[in-house]
Amino acid sequence: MKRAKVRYLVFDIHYGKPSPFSLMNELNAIIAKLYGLLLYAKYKPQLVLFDETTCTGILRTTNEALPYLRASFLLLKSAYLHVHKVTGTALKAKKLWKNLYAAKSSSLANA
Amino acid sequence: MKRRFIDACVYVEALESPQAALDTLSHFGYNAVALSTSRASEYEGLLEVVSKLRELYAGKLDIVSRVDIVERSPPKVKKLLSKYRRKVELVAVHCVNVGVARLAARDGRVDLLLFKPSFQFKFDRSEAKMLVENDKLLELQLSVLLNAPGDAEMSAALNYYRNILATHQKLRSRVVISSGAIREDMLRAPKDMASLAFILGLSEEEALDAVSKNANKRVEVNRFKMKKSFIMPGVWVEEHGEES
Repeated sequence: MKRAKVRYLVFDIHYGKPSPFSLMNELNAIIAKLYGLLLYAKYKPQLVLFDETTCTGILRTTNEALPYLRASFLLLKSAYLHVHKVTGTALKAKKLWKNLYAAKSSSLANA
Repeated sequence: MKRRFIDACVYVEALESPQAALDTLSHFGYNAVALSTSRASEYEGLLEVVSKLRELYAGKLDIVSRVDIVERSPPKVKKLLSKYRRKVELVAVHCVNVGVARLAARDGRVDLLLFKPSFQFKFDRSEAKMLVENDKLLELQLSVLLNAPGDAEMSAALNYYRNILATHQKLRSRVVISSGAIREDMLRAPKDMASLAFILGLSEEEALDAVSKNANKRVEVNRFKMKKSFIMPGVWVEEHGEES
């Protein structure tokens, strides 16, 4: 069997401040509702990293699941996950997240 | 060439702060946004808001003026079309019944035809054929899904859109996907909206065109038509030896 390509999504959250637990619960519920349990098992994302102060983080998924996951972000009610960048390696994802974290924390400090 | 993303419909009349919404859209990666109103009384105000915002966002975000016609009788739709056509860049008609849908598909002054699950009229093959023949754009709004009160309504809306796109696949009419946002929290990133179109049955390229190329092309054509030098399709006045 061919191994699925991994994708890391660097994101920030708009219009809300959910906890990582509630965010993942809602996201999983929407994926299960939209695509059914069979595809939920296949497309279930993993939260690699999340910072509650800046509401930024990294999600891990597969290349195949990416459009399905992005479509489910649209229908989140408590918050909206905006994907900044999609990358294939964890190292680059962390680098991108650090840049995003720095930008977000400086804008929070200014506010 | 890099894609220029456009949100083809944001209802400016309902937004608390249009500037905050435009900043968010710019952050999401949009290059253009169409600000709309569905109330005839708000139309003059819309043009004022658009011209002010154009100055503010010059070089950052292209602001397009758009009007939505929501009428049940075809003669009223015709009257409003002749009133608005030369003044705004995009004209959309809500196809609330068969009469309005057929008129909108035939009339050369209409750019976008909007379909919602709540309308009496259900999109059919003959309507799709007319759209293709008359080079009209079919618009689907995300707000329908976001405003669905329950799971049943959301699944009905998804099924409605899936059926529309299945009919589209056979005839290759052009589709536009917009947010139709009435609040700032209803704005979404272009690639996420394209993903929804992709899972509903469009190809990857078509889905991306639905949030970029299709509406942008129409805006370009209409802007050219709104110039004073334009006389009729294929005929325009040239100034200083250049196309104007």
